[in-house]
Amino acid sequence: MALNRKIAYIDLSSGKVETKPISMEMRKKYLGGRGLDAYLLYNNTKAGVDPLGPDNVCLVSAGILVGTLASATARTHIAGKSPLTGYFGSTNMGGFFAPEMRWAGFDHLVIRGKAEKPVYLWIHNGEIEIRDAKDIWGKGVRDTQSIIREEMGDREIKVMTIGIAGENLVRYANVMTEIKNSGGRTGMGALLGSKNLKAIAVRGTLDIKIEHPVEALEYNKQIISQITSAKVSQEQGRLGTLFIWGATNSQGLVRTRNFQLNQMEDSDGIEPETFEDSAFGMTGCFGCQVHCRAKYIIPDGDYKGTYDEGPEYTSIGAFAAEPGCTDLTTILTGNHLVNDYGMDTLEIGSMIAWAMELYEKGILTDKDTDGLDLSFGNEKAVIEMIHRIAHREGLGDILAEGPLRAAEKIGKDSIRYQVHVKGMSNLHSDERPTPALALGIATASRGSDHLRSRPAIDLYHLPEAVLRQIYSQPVAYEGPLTSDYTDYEGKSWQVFWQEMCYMAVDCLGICKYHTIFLGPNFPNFEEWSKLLYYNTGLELTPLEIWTIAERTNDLERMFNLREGLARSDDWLVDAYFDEPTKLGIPLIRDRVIDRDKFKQMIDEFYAFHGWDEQGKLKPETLKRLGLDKEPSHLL
Amino acid sequence: MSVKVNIAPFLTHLTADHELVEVNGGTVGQCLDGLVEEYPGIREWLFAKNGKLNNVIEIYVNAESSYPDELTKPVNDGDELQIVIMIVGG
Repeated sequence: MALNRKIAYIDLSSGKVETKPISMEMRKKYLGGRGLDAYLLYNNTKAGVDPLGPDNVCLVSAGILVGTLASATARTHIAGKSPLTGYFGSTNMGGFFAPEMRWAGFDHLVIRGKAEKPVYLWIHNGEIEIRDAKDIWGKGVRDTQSIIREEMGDREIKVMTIGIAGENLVRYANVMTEIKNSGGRTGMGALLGSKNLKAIAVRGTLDIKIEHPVEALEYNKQIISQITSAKVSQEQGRLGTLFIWGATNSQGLVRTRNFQLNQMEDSDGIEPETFEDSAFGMTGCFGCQVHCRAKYIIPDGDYKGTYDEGPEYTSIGAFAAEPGCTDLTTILTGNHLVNDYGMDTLEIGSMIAWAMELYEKGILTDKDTDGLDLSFGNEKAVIEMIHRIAHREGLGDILAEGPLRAAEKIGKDSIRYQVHVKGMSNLHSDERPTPALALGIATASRGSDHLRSRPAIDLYHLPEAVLRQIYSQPVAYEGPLTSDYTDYEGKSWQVFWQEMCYMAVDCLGICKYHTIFLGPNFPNFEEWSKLLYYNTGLELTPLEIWTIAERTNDLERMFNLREGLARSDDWLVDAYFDEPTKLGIPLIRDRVIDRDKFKQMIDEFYAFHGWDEQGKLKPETLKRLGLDKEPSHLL
Repeated sequence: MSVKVNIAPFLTHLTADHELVEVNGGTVGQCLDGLVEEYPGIREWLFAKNGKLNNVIEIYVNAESSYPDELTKPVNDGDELQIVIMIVGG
């Protein structure tokens, strides 16, 4: 059955490997994936643990529906204390790794210690070996995977790996799989690097027994139809996330030149339609029908002719809007380099743009940059800085430390120009006109982030009747809801609801593009309850899944509180409140976030959670969610 | 048929600040043509160069998406259209 996959404890210092079953009690409390990882992290680390030290754990997991007959169940989750923020570190990627790990018999890996020399893990049908990584250490993401497959003589092996950035402990290094599936955000690649763990290779042929296969297949047909018939999916399947660029930028919702502007002018050369000339089809992850990943060849420059996949919408921000570049080749090359070095596209784009503003203001000089002209718009400088950061050369060594440490090293009021929450850079969207989106990034458990609670559909201007239908189940809600994205009313509930929605799918292992993140009629708690039952036999009502999401979100909060998080960390940099937007359509111009209204939103958000005014769990909340005895060490 | 079009706030600067515009037409396309006739500036937001609905725009009829019929979807007297824009991703 789908619930008999095990948990493996791997100590890289001693070389000891121990496997254990996962009890039904724990499944019902945390499901799997990110949910059970929250439990494992809270129970296997102590407060103040060094994120890059041997006592931090690296958790790798598959959601409870991964590898079953449910669509888009491809997600791998990686967690640990973040080397970037010092808080909850967590990242999630598509591809084919997690299904293969389940077919190899495992749902969760708990990796601690540090290997004496570089190693990789080889996992196959219930067995785990620690192997010498001398042939792959120092290699890029693609070469590493090729070498392992060649060495083992099996092209079906799936590999998650770090690139050179992870080896060099760049604090926003990714974990990667395939060409571009990225576990970005919070520096989980650096965590693997700190353990001398280059990669994990898996191959499995152990069947997952589906509890009700006929019903699971039939029901999944409905889900596929529900998703693929929507216009938003079809557009994603034509160009990927790029398709939203034009409309978003035209409105003025794009953070540009390190938040100095909110719209990129002169962007004709990077419109999605231009990209179509370099792209030649789409590809996708395990069990997905949307296929949102473009395949392309770099058309020009030093990497002309190189194949890669993507780029995501975020890479336009990272390598165009933020550094003020207008050449598509820069975006495609930058995307290729971060994929192969294994670095977070979003974080590195923000760090380079920040350095460019410091250069513009004279805080950084040619002496600091070793003669590199870091002016906004210098396309070559962007590519050069990607290399320097990955290799930690010169200024790149400082920027590799992430927002707060880099600002401390540079000094001279440079922190004033950082755009971050909890030490993690903001996405390149500009949230000053959109209070709901601003609340989401301010309160997300892993620092500034759009995939933890963003009510993305708030931007759609959906009929209020549609919003009411979505946001009133599985928990009743009769408060205000408005389709005006500049409004503050009712938005805290939407953010809270989306936080539960995304946590639920992260526990199940389903891609967010198959949820209400993307389409208002997409699957929801009701559908997940049925998918869970047909595929695993586990009977949970929509409300029970919601409660699991509440529990696991709160456990992430407890981890952060234990690490010293305070209410003041759920906040935005001053520019959000003090510097109005300058460009865009009339609705967007001259917008700031209203401090008092934002405080009120946070109060409401805390109240929905059952937290006190300081953002701590109230005793009754701890008891209601069964968290009052944590850490309980039941696994 | 008389139909009301609910204008998204980000477009009201193109409709003289009107949030609700009454138009006539038997299909979504005819209604939008009427809207564009009255407020030409809104065309570039609604339509692609090939005359189809823009790839990020959906029109809801009485709180339901008109996709895939889109412009050919029939409307009835008293129906309400809503302009929805799909800007999402990451």
